[in-house]
Amino acid sequence: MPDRRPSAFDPMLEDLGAIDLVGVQVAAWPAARTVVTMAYRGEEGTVAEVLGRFARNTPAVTMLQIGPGTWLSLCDGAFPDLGDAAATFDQGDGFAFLKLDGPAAMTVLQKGIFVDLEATLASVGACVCSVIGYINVIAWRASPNTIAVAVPRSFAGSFWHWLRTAAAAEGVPIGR
Amino acid sequence: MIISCPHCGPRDSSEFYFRGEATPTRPEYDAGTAAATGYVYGRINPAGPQKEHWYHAAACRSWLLVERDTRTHKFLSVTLASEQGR
Amino acid sequence: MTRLPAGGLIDRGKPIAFRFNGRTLTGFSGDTLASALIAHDVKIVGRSFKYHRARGILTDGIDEPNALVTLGSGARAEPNCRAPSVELFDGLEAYSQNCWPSPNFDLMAINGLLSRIFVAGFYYKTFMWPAALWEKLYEPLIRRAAGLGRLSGDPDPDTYDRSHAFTDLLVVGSGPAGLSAALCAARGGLRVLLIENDSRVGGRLLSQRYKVDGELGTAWADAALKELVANERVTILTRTSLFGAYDDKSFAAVERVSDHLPGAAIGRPRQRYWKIVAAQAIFATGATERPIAFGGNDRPGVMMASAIQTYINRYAVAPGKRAAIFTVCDTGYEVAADLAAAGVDVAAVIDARRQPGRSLAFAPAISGEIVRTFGKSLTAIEVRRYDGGVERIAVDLLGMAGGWNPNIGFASHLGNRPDWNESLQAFRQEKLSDGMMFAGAADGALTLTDALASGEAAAARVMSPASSMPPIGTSAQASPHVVRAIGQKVFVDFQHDVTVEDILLADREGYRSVEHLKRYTTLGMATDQGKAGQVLGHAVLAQHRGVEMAAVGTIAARPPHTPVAIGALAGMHRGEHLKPVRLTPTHCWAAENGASFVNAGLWKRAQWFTRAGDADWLASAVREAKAVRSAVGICDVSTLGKIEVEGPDAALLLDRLYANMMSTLPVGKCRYGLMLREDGFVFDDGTVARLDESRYVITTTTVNAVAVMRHVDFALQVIWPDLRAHACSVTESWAQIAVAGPQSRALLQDLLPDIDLSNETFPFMGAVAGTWDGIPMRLFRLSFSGELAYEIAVPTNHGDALVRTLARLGQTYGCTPYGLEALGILRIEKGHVAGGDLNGQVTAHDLGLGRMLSRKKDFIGRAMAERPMLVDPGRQALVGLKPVDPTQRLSAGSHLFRSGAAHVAGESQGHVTSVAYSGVFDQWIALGVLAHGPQRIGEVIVAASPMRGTRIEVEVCNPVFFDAAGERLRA
Repeated sequence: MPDRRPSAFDPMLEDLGAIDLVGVQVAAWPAARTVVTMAYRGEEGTVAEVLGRFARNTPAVTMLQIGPGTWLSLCDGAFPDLGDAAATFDQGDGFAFLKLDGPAAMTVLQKGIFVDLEATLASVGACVCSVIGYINVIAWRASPNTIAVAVPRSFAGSFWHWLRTAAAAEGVPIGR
Repeated sequence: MIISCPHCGPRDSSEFYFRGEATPTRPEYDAGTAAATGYVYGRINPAGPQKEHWYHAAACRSWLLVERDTRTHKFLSVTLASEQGR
Repeated sequence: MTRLPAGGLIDRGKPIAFRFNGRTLTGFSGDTLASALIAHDVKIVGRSFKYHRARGILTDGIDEPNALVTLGSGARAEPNCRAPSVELFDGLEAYSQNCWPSPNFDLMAINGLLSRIFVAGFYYKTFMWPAALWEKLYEPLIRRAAGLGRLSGDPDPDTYDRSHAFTDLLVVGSGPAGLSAALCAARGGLRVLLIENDSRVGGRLLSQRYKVDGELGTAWADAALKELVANERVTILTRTSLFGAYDDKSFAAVERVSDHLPGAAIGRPRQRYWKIVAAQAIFATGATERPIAFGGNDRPGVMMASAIQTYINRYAVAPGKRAAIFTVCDTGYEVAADLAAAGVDVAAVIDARRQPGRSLAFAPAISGEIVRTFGKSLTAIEVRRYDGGVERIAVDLLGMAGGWNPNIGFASHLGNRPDWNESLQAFRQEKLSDGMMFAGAADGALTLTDALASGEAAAARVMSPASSMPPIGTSAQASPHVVRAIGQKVFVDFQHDVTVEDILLADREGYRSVEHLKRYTTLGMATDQGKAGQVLGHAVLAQHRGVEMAAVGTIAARPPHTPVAIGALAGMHRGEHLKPVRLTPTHCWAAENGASFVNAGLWKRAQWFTRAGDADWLASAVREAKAVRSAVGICDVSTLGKIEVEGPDAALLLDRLYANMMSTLPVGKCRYGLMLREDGFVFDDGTVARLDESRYVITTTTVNAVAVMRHVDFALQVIWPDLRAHACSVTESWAQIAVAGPQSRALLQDLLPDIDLSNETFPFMGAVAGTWDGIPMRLFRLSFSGELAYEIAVPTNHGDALVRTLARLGQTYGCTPYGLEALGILRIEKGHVAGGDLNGQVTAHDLGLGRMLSRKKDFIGRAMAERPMLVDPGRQALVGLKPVDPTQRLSAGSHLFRSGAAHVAGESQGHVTSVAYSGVFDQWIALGVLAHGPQRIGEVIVAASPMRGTRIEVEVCNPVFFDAAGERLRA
């Protein structure tokens, strides 16, 4: 696992105390490289296969389909060569990520999002792109007990404010 | 209002941008001013099913070709615009 | 005190102190404000809206039209709260409305004497002459008198929460039908959301002494609740009012989270706004009892019979000592029996139906009608018997049992009108939207047995759509009943003081449809939206016109079903959190360096950096601009849109999007680009840099970043889907800093010792990718200021480190941070167009950029840009403007007039689009658009702003005020 890149959420996370699993535990996401891949017309199948194999065979890769023929990959560095089949765009630090652990994570997220999370984030790897508090978010189930969230970097502060406010209104503590 | 995006499923209308009636095929420059004017300003404006362009701005960023009944608001079909073979 | 010695669902072990109109009273936990006031024999709780008649509590719930109070004081004062719906809590303060000095003695009651003038529609017939007095006298007077209740005028101090919920089945109402529907569905494994307006489940079971399966109704409800609570697929929200049904199975509700808790509950929201999507919804919303129309039916002491039943059974209070019941249905007899069982003297049950009389053990049964009532609050009624004879009976409590209206309002939120059902003698909802049904009394199943069966059948239907609903048993008919008036007002809409006379007047004047009747008389337009009396009013109209109720119809209800605080809809999105805030990568550094921020869309951008010695913001901006022209300045430009375009057809795509050629751009070079809309007007401008053969990065203005991305996506997905190219926003991925001024090269060379930045190797409009301190970096030689300048981009998280390094290295050169104001000064001095000039109404020709429109290719907007009216030299085109007197200040938006022309709209020849104080010229300068502008260089015209009262002589000049040859850029 590479060194974690600095995250736009770092200043907020520094201020948090530790809590037990009753609430929502947050942490930054340890991805080193974020890439958007967009398949050219007719190549969607090929690209899906290549990226699928990459995700299965490489440790610590998250592969999220965020649109028709469009994938967001979180990986460590190496990325498969897609030749003429797709355009790739390095996103650098364009997203800020958060990991939310604990059963209350779903409850709190569902408050803010107009998509049925019980249906959409049922299995590990399932992802949804939508809006929370006027901020575009991508959320996915990273593990049975963890939901990860990505927001455009400049919105990190406002998203954090939504998260704290929504959790507090339910009496759910947020901590590390 | 909830719109069924072919990729993302049913979503609140606030996730979308409404461009307007789906205009006919964009004419080449050579086709002349009358054709261009029709493309830019001409609309059928039916009382009934209307073809429209919507953009799923907040999620998959797909342009969608929608058929919606302007009298009842009912969405008759929603497909990816890029698959229209225009 | 009329508290009954035993019984009720109150907790006599928990007394509660509260204040009503300044008087301290006590009640018990479980009381409402209404029941506690009744316990204290408070008969008159307020005055009516128009006539200021004394009024008492009429009902036991949200249909209450009379007992409206203001709760609380100061910033938390909330008007128009219905006393029967207010849960009593320690320290509750309530005040009557619409009366002064008190409800018992109200000076405004004089309105009652003028009632002949204040009939329906008087607004349309009065205050018309003389017209001049309208604004000065009539309107202020009417405003003073109008309205029900007063707002505090202070900002709402409470917080509100918002939550989304998705469910298989939404059940609205937890009476017998709602509970049995919820139980059935929960047992069937569905996700169920049960919503109940009251503080506890049970509905009418809480008001009656019925038994279900051998146990008391309340006990059955508690057992049902226990089973539902234990089921983790079931969510129950009490104290939650559904207020709207919307398209696509969406519903809205407000949950009162801490309204019933004493004091301002710290850390808890006051209310929560629920946005619900339910695959299916069962509305078990019950039915509302109708009043009866007879003379004096609004006297304090006249109540709905079902409400009396609630106060007796649920709250253990008797609203009077000697009661009568006036009924047109069998339920009236039940109430009489409950009164008798509670020890209240029942003087008579008057049944207006012409049918064989009954004999009751506890009271005389009279076949007849009540024609009048007496007393300041009720002391007696006058009954006219059908078998002849008139008698006066002394009572202080009268219950009206006028029949039942199923609560079907939510169906008409979706545009479905109800149908009059002859056997039910009420409106019933036959036409249903997909996913919505009614059950229980709301569907016309008015008996307990029918309601239980109906709820269960509705849930069964949700689970297997083929199953059918049981037929509605026809209980004895209860037609809306109207007694002919004898000298006393007969009320139909209690809150708006609408009488039978008003309805007949409306009909005489031609307002004969229910829609016209509503607006002319204001029947059903008050805060109760006619829940109690509207249908009765329509029955009056039908009977008067001699037509069937089915022909008259009724009004469509609209959301909100009950009043909703605006704060609940806003949630956390108010004040500084109205919209999200976007912060640039250098925000912290800027704040540390004295930046003042301005909103640019959602972004916070540094507007200027205050330093000791700056007299004001203008001084800061001028200082910064001068520093850029003489030494070097740094400015965060990360907010501009950045879009990467990649693919074999990337060049072709850009040629089609931009007016000028992009496919000819060599690798490692930048070019200024102009994008038009399809109608030929300028859409956006920016730069295009070619990073390699098939990869470009384009920039947009900050404010158009989203619109341009959408435009590019439209081109790729809709217009030219066969192009092998894609575009992706990288605005958030790069921190981009402008480094501008004669010393910019020296500063950047210090930062990047390994890159040759000499003019020969890296000329104007070059682009190169490399690294800074091992971090990926892109460097562009672009200038918005007209000075030698660059823009350096690094991944966003390194933007802070970059700007600090530049500031540190820049000390040697006198490097100055500059903000948007200085940026504006610099670009206006150079005639570069931006925000104020690109207003969506200018063409490329107007801006002097006509030569950019390529003739070698088709591009978006080309055809329409060539329309004769868009290339007419008479159009308002870009010019520079300088005040003739250099001490004078120009304002943007000023209109431009020929010297000597009148300053009226028809003479305006253009306007000032951007203004700046130039440090180079030590005076105000401006850009503007002027008819025939480029042909009028040197002419002296007038810039006038009638709003500010200014008129300034200006000279028309070249918009490029400074270094027209562009020598400094290319150094």
